[in-house]
Amino acid sequence: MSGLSNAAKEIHNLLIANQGSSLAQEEILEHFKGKDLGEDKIESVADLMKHIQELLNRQLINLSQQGTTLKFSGVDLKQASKISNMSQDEAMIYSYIEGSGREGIWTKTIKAKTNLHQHIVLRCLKSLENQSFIKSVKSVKHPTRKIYMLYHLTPSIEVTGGPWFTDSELDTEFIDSLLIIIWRFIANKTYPNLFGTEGNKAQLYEFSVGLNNAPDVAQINKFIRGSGITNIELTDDDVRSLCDVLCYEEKIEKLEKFGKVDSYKVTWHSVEEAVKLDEPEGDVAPVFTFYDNHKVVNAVDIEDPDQNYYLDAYLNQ
Amino acid sequence: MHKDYYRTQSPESYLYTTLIRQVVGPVASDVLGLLMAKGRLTVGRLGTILGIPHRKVHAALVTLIQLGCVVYYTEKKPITHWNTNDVDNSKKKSTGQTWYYFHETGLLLLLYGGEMIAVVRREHGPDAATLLQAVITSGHVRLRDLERDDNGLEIHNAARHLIEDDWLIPTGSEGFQGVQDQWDDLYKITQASYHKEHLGQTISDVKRTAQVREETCIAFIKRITESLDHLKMGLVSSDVTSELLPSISKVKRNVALSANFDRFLKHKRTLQLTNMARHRLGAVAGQVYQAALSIVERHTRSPLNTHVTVLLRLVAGSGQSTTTGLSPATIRETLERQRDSDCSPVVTFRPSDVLSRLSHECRRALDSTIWSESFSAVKRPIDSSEPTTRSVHKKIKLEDNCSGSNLLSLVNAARYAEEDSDRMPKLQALLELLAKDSSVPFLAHGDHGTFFVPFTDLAPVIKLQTYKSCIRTVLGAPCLRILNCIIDHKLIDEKMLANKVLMKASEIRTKLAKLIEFQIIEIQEVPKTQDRNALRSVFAFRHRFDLGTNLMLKSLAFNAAQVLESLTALKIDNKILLDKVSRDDVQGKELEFLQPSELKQMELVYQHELRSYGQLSRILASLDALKFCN
Repeated sequence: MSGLSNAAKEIHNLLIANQGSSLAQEEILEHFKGKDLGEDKIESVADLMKHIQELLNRQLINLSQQGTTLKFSGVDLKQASKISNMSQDEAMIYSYIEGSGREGIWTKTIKAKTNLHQHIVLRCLKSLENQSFIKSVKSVKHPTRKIYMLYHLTPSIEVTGGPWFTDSELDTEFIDSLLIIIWRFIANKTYPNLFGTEGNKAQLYEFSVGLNNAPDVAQINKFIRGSGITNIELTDDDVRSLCDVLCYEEKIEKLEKFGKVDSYKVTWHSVEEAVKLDEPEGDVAPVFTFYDNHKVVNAVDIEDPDQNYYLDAYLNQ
Repeated sequence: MHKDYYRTQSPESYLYTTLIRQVVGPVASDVLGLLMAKGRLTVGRLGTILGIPHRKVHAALVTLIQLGCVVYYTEKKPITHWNTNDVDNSKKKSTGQTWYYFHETGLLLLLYGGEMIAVVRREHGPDAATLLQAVITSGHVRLRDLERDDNGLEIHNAARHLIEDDWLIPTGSEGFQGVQDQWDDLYKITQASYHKEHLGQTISDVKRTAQVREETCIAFIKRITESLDHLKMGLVSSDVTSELLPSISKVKRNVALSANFDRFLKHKRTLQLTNMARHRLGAVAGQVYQAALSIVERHTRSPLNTHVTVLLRLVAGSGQSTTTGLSPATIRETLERQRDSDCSPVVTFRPSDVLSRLSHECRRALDSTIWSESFSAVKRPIDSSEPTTRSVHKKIKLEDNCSGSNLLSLVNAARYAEEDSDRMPKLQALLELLAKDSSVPFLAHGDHGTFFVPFTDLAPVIKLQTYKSCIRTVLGAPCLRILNCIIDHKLIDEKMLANKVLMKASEIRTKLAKLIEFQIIEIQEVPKTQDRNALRSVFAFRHRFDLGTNLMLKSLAFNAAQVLESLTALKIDNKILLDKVSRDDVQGKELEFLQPSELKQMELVYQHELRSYGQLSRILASLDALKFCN
């Protein structure tokens, strides 16, 4: 800050104090109205512009335009010294990357905006990356694009894909384990004591204990948060999308028909598949149906593959 | 003709020709395959195309007609419409040729015959099963042909039971003739008489056709009903007495009886619905639902609804050069009529009717169906007495002639009656559960506390559930997840799909390719630019139930044919051994007459056969659910 006028220092301090929002020249003038700044005065727009120019020369201020109004925001000293050490091209690219915020910017867009040759862009990006000023991130939406953002920023949900993605890869293991936990929670609510040791017989759970017990999305989310299964913060919408997946797999059902929005119950056949249940006495199921497939052991004769019949045999004849 | 011709023609052709090859022989199989390909042919044309002597073709046709696999139509002199004096002209046109058509019902009877016999054996006993077997293998029989001195009473009893339960129906000459031809003949006669009546009157062509069509329709229904009534009249009567059967009702000996496939389909529908209830609500709910269905099974309409469907199609196609098919309004009206018939008083039931049909085991299971907090702590009161009851039951069974058993059964009956009154609210609750299911309307409420089964609304659900189960089993749960998401969103692109089903893009693409291969889903291009540039277009997916079901039916039929073919091949490969085993001197003394290697081979043959029949029954289980639920 050495060599800066007193007034310029004051303006810089004011802008830094207003982190996150930029100020128009009228607002700055209003702020310094009547204040004693020693030799320097900020009484008119001309005075202000003189000091602003001073700050601009040292990269301590950023300009932006909102409508027809010119606005100013402060740059901290560290950042300013960083930028001042950069080459002109690097600084220009850096400013675009900074402007893109948490969304990041694609290399092609940088090239188009800066109008620089690709080699120069790549060289500058490499240099900035080496100095840990910027980092490249993988976008879930556009996995093939190389996107850059400032080193200290956390990518937005649009870029990372939300809680289901780890390192821009869909974390199917995490999703599957959450699906199992949610299913068990709803199953326990729908058919209490289902996984208990006592009285675990098929006929006991014929009836769901009633729709009053059916959990809704908020309850499921509360259970997940309370159990400490994951340290990732899940919203109700995230839990709802997991419940939708379970509905698509026909493991749970929505109870919308009974006027219970967002409430779910497990399907009986998913219970049958998960828990070995006793068959009640006198039960006759003489004809095989596709519903009984999960009960058929050794349906595929591995020793003699010619004995198998495939549904696509007709298509591949 | 080479058998691969029928294999490539269509899966149905492959299945039915393989079946007929196994049951009747290769000539009949060729004749049937050709009739399926060409629609209708005369004996001359059949013989010429196949290169077989006419005598052999005739013999094959006789067998096929008898089995109900082929129907015929003998051309009559055309009716002179306008000018009755133009006799010479009509004589020229008269050829009197007999045409033969493919008829599916007979083949279905052969395909499902084993299962039908098993059902009848379970419900009506071995005599009835033997009779039905004789009817299916011969196509149709008269009782006098089966009667011997020693079995008259059993046969008549079995026939009476089967007729009363609609498993056997009388058949006349109309049963061997094509319905389309009968309709066409009647249409021509009605048209001629209509023109004669309204000669000189100014009536528009459209009105004329509509009126002729309506009159034909009435006459056609009348003819069918009259012929059936005529055949049924006095079929089973109690006033006929004979030396052989002095005191029981008897069946006319000279009426030809044939198996009723519609009745079997009703039974299959009951099983499918029961299994669906078991699948969705549990085993006890399934048993209760089965009891409810068994009350109404016989009186309900056929799943195929053949008469109505055929008639509507005939009406829609007659009197015009092109067939337009059924209009959506007609289909809606028919469905409404069917819905009305679903709740007619004959097919409604009360909870007490269901309870009376439940087995004692099921009634006991009913006690523990409703979950209660206190269950795990407190034992059910019935549990304490259950072991003694069971042991008593066993004793009674063993000692049938014991005088004390009657007393015990009376005591038991009184105890069961008391318990039944306690069970009624639970049964009522279970029936309510079936009626209020979130996605399948198993039951519906009728008047005065009765219930009925909405078959019309259930038919598409059975089809869809079987279809989805098939996809899940064959293509895997991820495919079902994707399919359900597509059905839910109607039209969805790949990116959106990936967001919704939370699966990796590469996996989704693989599964989508599989679903597209089976025509379960189809791709729709959504252009993003004005020039409809394919590179910039988005491709969305939609579900096509009809296409998917059709291909699945074809695939299943093909698989069934493959199983049958492998059975035929097995028999041909082991012909010498099988002939040896079936010799009279070898039967019963296999260990003496057969080499150890031959015994081992026989075991392999039987295992293969058993496994193949198991596979066939599994394939047919989903085939009939997809094919006959309308």
